[in-house]
Amino acid sequence: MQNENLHMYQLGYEPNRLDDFNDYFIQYLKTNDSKYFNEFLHFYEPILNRKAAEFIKCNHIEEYRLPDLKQIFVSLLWDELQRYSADEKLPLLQIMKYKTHKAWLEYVRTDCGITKIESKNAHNNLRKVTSLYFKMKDTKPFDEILKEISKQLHISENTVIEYIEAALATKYSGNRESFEIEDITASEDIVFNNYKSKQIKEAIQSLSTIERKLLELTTGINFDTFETTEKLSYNKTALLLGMTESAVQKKRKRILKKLKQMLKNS
Amino acid sequence: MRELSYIERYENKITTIDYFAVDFDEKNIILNNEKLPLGYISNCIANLPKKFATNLLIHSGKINRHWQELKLNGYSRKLFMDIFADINKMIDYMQSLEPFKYFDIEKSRTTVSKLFGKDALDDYEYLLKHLKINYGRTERNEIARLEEIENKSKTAENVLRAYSYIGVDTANFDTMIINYVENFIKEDSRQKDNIAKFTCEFFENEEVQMNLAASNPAAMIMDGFNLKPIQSAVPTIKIENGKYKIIRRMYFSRMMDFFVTEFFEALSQGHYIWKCGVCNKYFLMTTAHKQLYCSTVNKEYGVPCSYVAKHPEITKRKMKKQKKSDSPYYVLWNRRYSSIRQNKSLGKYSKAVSSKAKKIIDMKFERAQFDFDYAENNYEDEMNLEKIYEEAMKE
Repeated sequence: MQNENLHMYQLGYEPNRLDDFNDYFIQYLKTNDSKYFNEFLHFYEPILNRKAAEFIKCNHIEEYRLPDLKQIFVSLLWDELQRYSADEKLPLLQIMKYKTHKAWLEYVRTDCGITKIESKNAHNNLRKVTSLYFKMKDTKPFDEILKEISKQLHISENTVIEYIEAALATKYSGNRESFEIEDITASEDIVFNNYKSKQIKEAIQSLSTIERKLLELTTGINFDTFETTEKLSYNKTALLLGMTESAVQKKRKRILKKLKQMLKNS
Repeated sequence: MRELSYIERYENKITTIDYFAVDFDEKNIILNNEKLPLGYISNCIANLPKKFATNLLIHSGKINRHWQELKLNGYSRKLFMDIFADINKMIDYMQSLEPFKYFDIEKSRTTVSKLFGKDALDDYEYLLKHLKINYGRTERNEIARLEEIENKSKTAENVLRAYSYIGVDTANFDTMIINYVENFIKEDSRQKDNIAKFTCEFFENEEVQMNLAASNPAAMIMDGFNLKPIQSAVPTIKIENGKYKIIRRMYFSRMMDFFVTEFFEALSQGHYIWKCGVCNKYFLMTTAHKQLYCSTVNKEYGVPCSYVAKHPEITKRKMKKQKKSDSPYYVLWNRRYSSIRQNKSLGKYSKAVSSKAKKIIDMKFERAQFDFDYAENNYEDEMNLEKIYEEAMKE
């Protein structure tokens, strides 16, 4: 039997290593042959293991949860792959980076014993409590917030406290859909949330070359391919662009404001 | 005998290391078909590392000893074979060095081979055997042959002299140019009249003259730096883009003559050399703008020195601020912008084309600020006004 006719996990089968991980997804979309998906998983598993282990270490959860995290990644990847198109500039793994973080944190919130949120209703309540808490936290004292949320959602004050603790422990901020994860900044978040929209592409294109370069260097996102690269400090960026550090800070602020304004108007 | 020609053609020229033609075209020199801004050669010599200048001096010294021996003892086959080997070694060393790499290295080798190769030695020995020409008895063909060999031997002596001077000339000119620049950078104004005034005061200064004379490493036997370069200037025709142009061609037989001529031609055009406050290297300035730091990439930091100067944490001291308008890339952008505005007001180009042209130069200028390779190699070419309008009208 010819080697190429064998399927993954059959004796004698040797998975083919493609140059780029994204090529597996492109091949899958072209042929609809799931062997590409399996082959990708075969080669990506060591990286996934490392990433999941790092996540476990960072979030202080039990090591036996590693297979769960991997499973979440695989099912998410499969879902995303069905929606992915070969014309998409952004590599699928790049999209997965953001979505996986989001899903893994959700897993920590709901399944890792910080709080018992087993029902869908409880999960919805967590979202509502967190959202309300973040809206009021700077304007009202904690006791007042507790009472108000408890009254609005018809749940006990103790449950509200539990939800808030869970949200704070997992750095979840309710409806804002933003995660203060070390390697995903606010600006990156805006980009990932909108990567498919024409508006952000147009907004970025309307920036001048130097503005785009400044944003690229400070966020570590290549705005032509939407791939991430090394993120530079303000000082290093200033050196590369022939500016002072404070000029970079001011200019960056102005650019982000301009971008936000453009996105709001569009 | 040299063929009499009233005017020369650009294409017919030689640029060997020992005898060479250099074309002077407004603000540039053309050396072996390479167009370089006036002052470029002087700047190369100012930046020549001491190690290279010393090695050149050693190579040249060897050839000078051969020349002295030739004058003392006359021709010998062994001596000429040594000369041939040593000149070739010197060419090997020079071929990668700025500014010597711009000379026609292959042609230089061919000349040396013709004058000092095995066939030439046979010829010289033949001439020595038949030194006396008896015009009554010797055949006409034989006379022509002997005269030809005699001319060849004279040329060989001139070539030997030229190579023996290169090291000393480079070292002496290097000393002069560094002294000149170190004093000139103390000046406030960089306008043409001030350059002329400073140059006059510098070379009239007796102390400077004494120092230059004392610095000559071979003062007793060789001429050092002098302000009376010898050259022959010939009007030359060059056809550029289908148009005829008259340029000046100068012939030199000694490197110092070329260096001095190029340096003063540069000064007369307002080109001068400045010293970078960050990397301490010398750079050529072609405008009176007060650029303080060089715009070539600093190898240590991967960015131009003018960028490094803005970071006191790197330079360990606060550097003098260089205005944005003094950057050479800005100067070129500004020139093009003025031309675009002028052409628009004269009605040469429509509003739409002018606005597109402005956008194009803006984009190129912005790119030059972070793409240093582009800035150094392509920016100037791409900022050609004709090309910009062509691009603007295409879109």
